[in-house]
Amino acid sequence: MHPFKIFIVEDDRLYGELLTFNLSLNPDYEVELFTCGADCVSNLYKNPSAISLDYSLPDMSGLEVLERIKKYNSEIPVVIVSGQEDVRTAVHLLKQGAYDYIVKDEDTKDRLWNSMKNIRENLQLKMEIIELKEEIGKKYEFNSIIKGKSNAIMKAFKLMEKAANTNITVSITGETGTGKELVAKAIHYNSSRSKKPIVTVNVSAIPKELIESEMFGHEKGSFTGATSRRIGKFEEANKGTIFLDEIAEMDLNMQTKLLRVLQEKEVTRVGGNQIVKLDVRVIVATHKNLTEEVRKGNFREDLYYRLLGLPIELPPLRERGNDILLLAKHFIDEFCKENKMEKLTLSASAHEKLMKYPFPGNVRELKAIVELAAVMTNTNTIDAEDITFSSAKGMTDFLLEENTLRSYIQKIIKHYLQKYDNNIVLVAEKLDIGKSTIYRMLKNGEIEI
Amino acid sequence: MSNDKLYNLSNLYNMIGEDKDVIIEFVQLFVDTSVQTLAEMQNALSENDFINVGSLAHKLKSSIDLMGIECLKSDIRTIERFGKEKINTNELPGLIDRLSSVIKQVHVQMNEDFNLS
Repeated sequence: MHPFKIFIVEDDRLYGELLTFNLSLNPDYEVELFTCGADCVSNLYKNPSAISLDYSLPDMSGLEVLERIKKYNSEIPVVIVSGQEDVRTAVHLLKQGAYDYIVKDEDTKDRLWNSMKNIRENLQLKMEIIELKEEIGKKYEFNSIIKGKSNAIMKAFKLMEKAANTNITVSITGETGTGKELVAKAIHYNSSRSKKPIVTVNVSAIPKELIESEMFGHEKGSFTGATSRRIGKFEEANKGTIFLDEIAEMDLNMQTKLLRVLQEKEVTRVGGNQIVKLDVRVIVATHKNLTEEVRKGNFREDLYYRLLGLPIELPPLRERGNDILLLAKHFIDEFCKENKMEKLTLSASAHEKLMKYPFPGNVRELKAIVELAAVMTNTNTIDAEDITFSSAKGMTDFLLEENTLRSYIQKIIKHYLQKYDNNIVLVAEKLDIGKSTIYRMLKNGEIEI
Repeated sequence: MSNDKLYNLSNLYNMIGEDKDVIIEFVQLFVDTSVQTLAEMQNALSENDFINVGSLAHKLKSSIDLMGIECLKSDIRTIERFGKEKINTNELPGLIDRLSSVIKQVHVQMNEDFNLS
C-alpha cells in the first residue's frame, strides 16, 4: 500500500509542529506541514490521503481552502481543526464536505489520531473494493471466459467485442447452459461501464404480480407489504448494465411498461410520482426464438425491435467440435486446482466418448460431467468408464422425430460438418463414406455449409 | 512543578510524551514563535490594523493553551474578539502590554527550567 500522506495546515507553527510530530509517530504516516492555505492548495498535486485543516488561516478562510481542496479532488478527506467551538460553523463545514470537525483542546491529539485512523481504514476498504472489482474484471476478460476455437464461438467472440465497445442493446440467444449470463457479464466488464454495477434479473423467476415493483421499485405504502421505499433493479443498475434473463417469459402487460421505460429512459416507482432518469445499458437473453414468440403473439413486436440491438447467438456445444475437449480440459484443470488435486488427463477413449455425446445441457452439463469424472477416477487419467452421462435427451429427441432415412442421413452429415468445422475430408473419414457423397449432397442443396 | 509557575506543560506532555529532548524542542519553538508573533502584534497595533491583531491573537491562542498559561487564556481571547470585531480598540494596548509582559516572564521561567539556548 502507498504511504498514507497527511497534510497539516496550521498557521500556529508550534501547534502545527506538535500535530506533525504526533501523527509522525505512526510509521505508516507521511506528514507535511503548511502554515497557510495557499501553500496547501499549491501542493495538492502530491495527492494527500487526508488533510488536517485549521479553520482560521492568515491568507484565506478554512471554508475557502476546503472548497479549493474539494474542487481539486472531492475524495480527499478534510478534518477541520478549529480553535472555536461553534456548532453552526461545524455543521456548515460538514455539509460542505468536511470529514470531521475537531475543537482544539486537550483531546485534540486523540481525536485527530482516531480520525486519521478511520480515514485510513476507509481508504484501505476502498482500495480492496477497487482491487476486487479489477479481479472480477480480469475474471470476465473475453479470452478467460470464452474457451474455444470453433468458427461458431469465434463469431460470437467478435460480436461480444463489438458489443463491449459500444452502448448498443444486446440480445443473446442460445440453449440452456451455453453461457448467456457469462457473456452478458463479460460484455459489461469489458465495457466503459465496468466500474458500475451489472444487475441481473431472471424474469422467469419473479412472480407476475411482483415483477413491476422488482424492476421499477416502489414507494412506501404503495401496496400491502410495501413497508418502506425500495428502489428497483433499473435504478440499481443506473450508469451500469441491466441483464434481463429469460426475457421471453415476461407477460404482455409488463412488456408494455418495459417498452415505455426503454423509450423514455426514465422510471417511476410503483405508487410514486417522482421520475428517475436512467442511463442503463440493456442486455437481454432467452433460450426461446423471439421471432417465433412475436409471431405467436406472445411478445410485442415493438419491444422485440427495441431489444434486438446486436444479436449474439451462442452455439450449442454439440456444434462446437473440438471445443468440447478444450473446455473439458479447462474444467478439469480448474477443478484440480480448486481441490488441490494432482493434474488429470483425458484418455483417448474418454475423448471419443465425450465427442460422441450431444450435450443437451451444453457447457454447464460438460462441466458437471468432467468434474464428476475427476472425482470418480482412481488414477491420473480419466477413462471412458469414469464418464457418466446423466441425460440422453438429445439422442431420444433425434430418434423420436420419425424422419425418413434420407433425412436422418442429411442430419447426421450436417451435424458432423458443424462439429468438424466443415472439414469434408475429416467428416467423410469419420462417417466412413466417400467425400463425393458429401459434395453431391451439397451440390443438390440437401445440406448447406 | 511549583505553584508560582506561570505555565503548565501537562497538556504538552499529554500530547508528545515524556521525552525531555522533544519537550525542550517544543518549548524552544514556543519561545521563538511567540516572540515573533508578539512583535507582529505590536506592529499591527501601531498601524491600527485591528483585524490583523485579532488574527495574530487567534494564532497565539492555541500555543498559550498548549503551554498552560492559565492567566492569559481569557486575555488572548478578548484580544482576538476585540481585534476581529474592531470593538473596544482603546483597551487593546493595555491588554497587549500585559500579554507581552506575562509571556516574557514565561520565557524567563522556561529558560531557567530548561536551560534554553
